[in-house]
Amino acid sequence: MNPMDLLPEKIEHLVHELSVLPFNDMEGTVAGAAVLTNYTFWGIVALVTTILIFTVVARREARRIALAAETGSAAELAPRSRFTSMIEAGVEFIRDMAIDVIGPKDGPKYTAFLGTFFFMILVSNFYGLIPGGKTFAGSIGGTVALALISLLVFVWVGFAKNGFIGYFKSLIPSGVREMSLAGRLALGTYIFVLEFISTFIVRPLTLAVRLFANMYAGHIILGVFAAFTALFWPVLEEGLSWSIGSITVGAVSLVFLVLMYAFEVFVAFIQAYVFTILTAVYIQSSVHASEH
Amino acid sequence: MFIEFAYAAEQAAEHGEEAAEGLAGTLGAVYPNPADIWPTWVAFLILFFVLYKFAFPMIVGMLDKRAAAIKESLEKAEDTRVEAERLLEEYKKQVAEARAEAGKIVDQGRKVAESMKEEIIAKANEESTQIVAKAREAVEAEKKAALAELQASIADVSVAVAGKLLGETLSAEDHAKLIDRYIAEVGSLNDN
Repeated sequence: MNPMDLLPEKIEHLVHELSVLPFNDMEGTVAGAAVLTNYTFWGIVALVTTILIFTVVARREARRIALAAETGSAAELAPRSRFTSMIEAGVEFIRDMAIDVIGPKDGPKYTAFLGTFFFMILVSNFYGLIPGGKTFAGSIGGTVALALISLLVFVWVGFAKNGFIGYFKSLIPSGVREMSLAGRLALGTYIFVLEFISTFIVRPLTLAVRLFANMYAGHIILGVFAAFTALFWPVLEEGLSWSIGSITVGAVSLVFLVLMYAFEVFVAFIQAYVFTILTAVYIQSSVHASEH
Repeated sequence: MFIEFAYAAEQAAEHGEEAAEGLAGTLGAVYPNPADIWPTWVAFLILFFVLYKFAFPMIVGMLDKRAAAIKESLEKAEDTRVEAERLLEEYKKQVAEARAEAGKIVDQGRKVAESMKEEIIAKANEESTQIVAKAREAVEAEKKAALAELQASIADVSVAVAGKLLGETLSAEDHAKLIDRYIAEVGSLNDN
């Protein structure tokens, strides 16, 4: 049998695998939100893992801080476990990001909020890289949910810091506000509409689509290379015809699969980072809205 | 191949439609499914609660406490270093002073010894001259005494001899003259 004959079937299987399905063929409707989907199942696994990691690390830190206070020895505060140091580095990374982007005064308040985005996406993305696993960010529903939280918070911060009217006013640049009445009406309205769409629609939409598309596309690419490797490697699928050419294609696909896998590990980090830093930037623009 | 891909995608869409009944048709992959939205919200809230209330304050607290401890240790180390340098300088100065003092003491001792040596030598010289002078005086006195004794005994002997030779014929006046002449002769011997 020619390997190419099996390709459509494989691709179809891949796309089917990546669509939102009831987990383990459970009964009930998916759209009606009554059942656990394959994405939410892995989201829950990632959530439990993240909570476990942070609970263990935080309890360890608490014990060490108490011990240091008890013995009065600062040596107890020295890093000891590599794993704890890694988590500390992650937390410090988020805190520095919050301080750098939002500012030293308001930044630290948002550390836990930004950290929730970052670690939730990051841990989940790693589960997505395990064969058979999924990241909730591979479903547009998951990323839309996160983007709406981001929107809710940066708009709420904007209202809290500038007042309801003040926040909307801040969408119009101060230069326009100093123009004549006709100018304000014409240019002001135009810019207000643009800024309104940009802030309330484009921001959450791009957040959601960027994260989803990156994860989904990454998994499709990995799946395609995996399918090619399986099809052109006669050892893996019985009953397939093979030649030197097909083995070469299989070998090249395997090399690309490994390279793309490494790249997807990088993407898992980058996308978690991008989502988090953009949320931080949006919060910053809300905090300092009246200064523009 | 591209046709096959297109065919595969078409088939996949159909398959997805069949599998996920109620989904928004061929939009399956890009339609936000409520079954994924609300669990994500719940998950976010749970994780946010855990991180905000417990994990982040602890970890950030640890980072801050550690940073403070490191800063304190470094400052303490700096203070200790400055103090050590100051002490070293002080000790160096003390050692230099002590060395100078010791040199001075040795110099003084040498000077004292030198002067003592000279004094002793001078004294010894003086004493030796004195001893020689005394000895010379003693010898001189002895010589004088011996000469006087010799004069007396020679006079006596001469008188006795002359008396014997001349008998009692010599007057008292001649006797005296004879003695004086003799004395003068003997005295001239002494001058030679």
